[in-house]
Amino acid sequence: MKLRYLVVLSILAAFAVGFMATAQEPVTIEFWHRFGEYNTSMLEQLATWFEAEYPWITVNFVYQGSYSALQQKVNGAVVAGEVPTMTIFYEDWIAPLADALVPLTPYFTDEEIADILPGMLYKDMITIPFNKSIMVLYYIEEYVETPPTTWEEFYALCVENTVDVDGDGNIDRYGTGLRPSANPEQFLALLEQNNGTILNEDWTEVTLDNEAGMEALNFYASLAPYAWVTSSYLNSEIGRVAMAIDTSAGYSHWIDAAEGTEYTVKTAALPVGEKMASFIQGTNIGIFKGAPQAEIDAGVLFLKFLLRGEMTGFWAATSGYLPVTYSGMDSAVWTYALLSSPHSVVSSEMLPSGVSSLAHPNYGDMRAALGTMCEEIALGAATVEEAVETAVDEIEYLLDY
Amino acid sequence: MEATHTGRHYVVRQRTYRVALYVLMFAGCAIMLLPFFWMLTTSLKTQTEALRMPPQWFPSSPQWQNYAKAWSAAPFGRYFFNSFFMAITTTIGEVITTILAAYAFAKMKFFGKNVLFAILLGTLMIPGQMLLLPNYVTIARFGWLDSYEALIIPWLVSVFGIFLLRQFFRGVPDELLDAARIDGCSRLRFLFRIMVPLSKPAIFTVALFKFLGSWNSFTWVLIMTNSPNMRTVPVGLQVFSGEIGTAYEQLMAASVLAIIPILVLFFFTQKQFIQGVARTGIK
Amino acid sequence: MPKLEKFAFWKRPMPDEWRSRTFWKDTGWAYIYLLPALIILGIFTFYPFFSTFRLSLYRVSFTNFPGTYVGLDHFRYIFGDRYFWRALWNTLIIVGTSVPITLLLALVVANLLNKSLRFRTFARTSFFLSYITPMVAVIMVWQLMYNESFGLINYLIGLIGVDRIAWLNSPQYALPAVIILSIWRYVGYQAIILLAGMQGIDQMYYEAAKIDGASGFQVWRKITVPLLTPQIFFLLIISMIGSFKMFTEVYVLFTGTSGPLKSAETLVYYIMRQGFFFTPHYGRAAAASIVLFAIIFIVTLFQMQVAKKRVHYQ
Repeated sequence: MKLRYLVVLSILAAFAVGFMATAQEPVTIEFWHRFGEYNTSMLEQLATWFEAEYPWITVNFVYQGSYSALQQKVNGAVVAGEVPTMTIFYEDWIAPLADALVPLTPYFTDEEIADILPGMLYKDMITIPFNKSIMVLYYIEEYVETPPTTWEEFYALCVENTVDVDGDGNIDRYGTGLRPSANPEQFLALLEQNNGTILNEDWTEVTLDNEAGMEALNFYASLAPYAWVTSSYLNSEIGRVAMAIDTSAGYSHWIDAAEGTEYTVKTAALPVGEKMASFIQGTNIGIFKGAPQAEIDAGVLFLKFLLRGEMTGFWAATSGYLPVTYSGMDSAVWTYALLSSPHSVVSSEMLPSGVSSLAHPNYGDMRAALGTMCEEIALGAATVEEAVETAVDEIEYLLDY
Repeated sequence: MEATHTGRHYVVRQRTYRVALYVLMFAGCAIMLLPFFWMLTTSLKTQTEALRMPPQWFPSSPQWQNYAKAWSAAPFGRYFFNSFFMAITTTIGEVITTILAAYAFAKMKFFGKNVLFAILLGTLMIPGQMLLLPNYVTIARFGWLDSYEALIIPWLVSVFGIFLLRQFFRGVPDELLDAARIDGCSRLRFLFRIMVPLSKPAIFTVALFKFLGSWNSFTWVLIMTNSPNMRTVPVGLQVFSGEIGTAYEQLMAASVLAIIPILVLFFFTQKQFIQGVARTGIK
Repeated sequence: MPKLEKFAFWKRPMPDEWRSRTFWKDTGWAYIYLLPALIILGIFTFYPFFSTFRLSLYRVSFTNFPGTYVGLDHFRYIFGDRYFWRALWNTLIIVGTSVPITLLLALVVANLLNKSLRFRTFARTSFFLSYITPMVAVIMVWQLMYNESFGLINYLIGLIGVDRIAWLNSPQYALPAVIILSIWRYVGYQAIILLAGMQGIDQMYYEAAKIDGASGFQVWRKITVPLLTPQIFFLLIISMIGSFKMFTEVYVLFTGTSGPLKSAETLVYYIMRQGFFFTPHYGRAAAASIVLFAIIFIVTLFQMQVAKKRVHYQ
């Protein structure tokens, strides 16, 4: 009799312990973003799959307006101590936030980290890459029959395509377009291809003005007479430029802008210099230290989920961005997407040679200094030497500011 | 002198002079109205017409659907609600605080009056952006970022309004106040029963400037709010322009919509409106 | 030091009214009336005003507000930053051109509207419209009209043989574009105020001038303008303060930037760029805004001094 009781009791106890181990308090994670309607619905699809796997977690997406609005909102949230669980943001916003973000390295296995494309990995993993794009070459087929494969060819095509069509003394079409202050990444892609860097390995010295850097800058300067220099989007006046170094994420805007005009927009890999390289842009995701631990844990689970090959592949295939892991590039859904989109093939092929912005905490200000330098060169307001000297001074000041 | 005034020569000169004045006046009007005309005509063009060179003065057929497209491309309904809500609440609130403060300065003797008034006038010299940084932190600490509180509460006072109304209140003779006192009329009742009705035009001016100011306010709203739900028309319009790219015809349609409420207000109160504005310049 | 005696309030006898009970009772009531205004001004004007001075000495951090004390580093930074000087220079150019031009044009317009011409109500409305319409909406249409390749302005100046101008894409025309826009926007408002002033001038003066046989221009110069000095002075002060604070025109006209090579950057834009755009440097922005406040303060005091001598009241 007693034995029977004991057995029943111990079985009950075992169940109770097991139940307590698996049951989780329900937790809601708040995810700030700025995606449009369509991409948001794709995000929600991802969340639905995630929630099916982790039924105690709910993902709540909050749209925060434009990128600058999101940035101010994030900064304000940190000041007020009312942070969400996680948010997307650009790497150059990190400076004021670095202390407020959870370093994620301890949460990830070595294999998981090795799967992330090296060009997208951020120092200490206080962020993980999410919606990424890469600089590719856009060209108008009516002007450029075969896209250039070397920078010499690119330059020649620029010269050829800078013309005053109606003979009124004004240039109506330019070979290419430069957005110096808005998009210094155009120059950074050239720099990277020429084996140049902004800083040395251990961030103690500015290397922008060494031989490789100066070569890249001089090439950039030589493009200026054949370039539409603007702060507007290069697709805002379609037909104005024959070729453009621009982000792969803008593809749908280029296509929309060309619709109904006599122009056909196509993309190709960037021409190749010393080596193939391009610049990766786009936002990352970070988790806030200020969030409750349960939310942080749930947020980490969501990040790991998003990094899975089929998930990042799905996100890339539907959103127009790029996969962020090797397994994502190999995933069935991305492979399938490549079949129907030559543009995706172009950006996918460029992806392994892509580099991201420096993970220096003051990179935001450094980028601004680079933008000013590029603008002065492109508009002829300073010589290459003068402009680079000022930029080097400013960046040196920022090294340990 | 007299001879030239009656001479034929004088008449001719006088007529040329008047013609010149009319030409000048209408040329001025044309320059002033041109941007409005351009806004309206562009809003009714097709996209290719809007980008055509040489520009086309009129659309070949008016594209009314541009308005519908613009209206649905961004939550303009919400922007308008926010703008109206912000403008009306701040106007009402400001009128009340201003009446009270202006009355104290105009009709009461109290300790520290002149110093306080001088300090208040001094704040007119502070550039608003100087205060934006700490105010941002304050608003963040209050948890008011991106909320109606942030849009309304800091704007419930205007030093300019207090100054304007004080000038007017001072013009109300003290005898009226004394008479009311004898009647045992309390101060507050005197203020709202006698002073306020007497000062209607000045109060209208104060209210008008607040309404215009709130409706146009840009930087504050840009910084203190982020979500589309909290945006007002000017900020919504600016963001919209960044998001739609080259659809100038829609942008112009949205701009026309944004100026309509103020135009309606203007045409209904034209006389008081202009007098109210003119009043701000009179010592 | 006889002059200082005037300020030596501690030597002055205590005002009689301080002895009266009703005075203190009134003081209590007065502050109750002032309370709502003072609370809001206290929180959103006075506190942040002094707080700005404090923030200018810190490297502001979000995670550990206000951050690390850096002394006068931010002032050193901005005084060594050529873009600060450019912004200051641009601001002075705007103040130095748009203020006098607007005022002169407004005087002409007011004079025109004061004549007994037909359609002048229509004209008054046309001139006034630019002032009341929401700024962002009108800047948008100017942006379109300024476009280099398909803008109306380049078309119109092309008709009289002027080459097309890259208004918004070239460093030398960005600032003029802002100034033209600002003149257009404020000339009507100033004209209305001056017109009201003109209509308030006693006809007696004109009668007297007529008897003396003064010419139209003489009357204008010797009577109208001097008697308008209160309005002119008012407009000078507010338009000067307004021009010093210019921001929205630049921000919207150049879609969030301050023109090529920051060629249209004003001091306030500089403050906003340092404090709110890109990587925020609140301390630098605070330092720059203190400098701006000091400039406005000095200029306004100077104007007040001039006004004491030059403004005529009827």
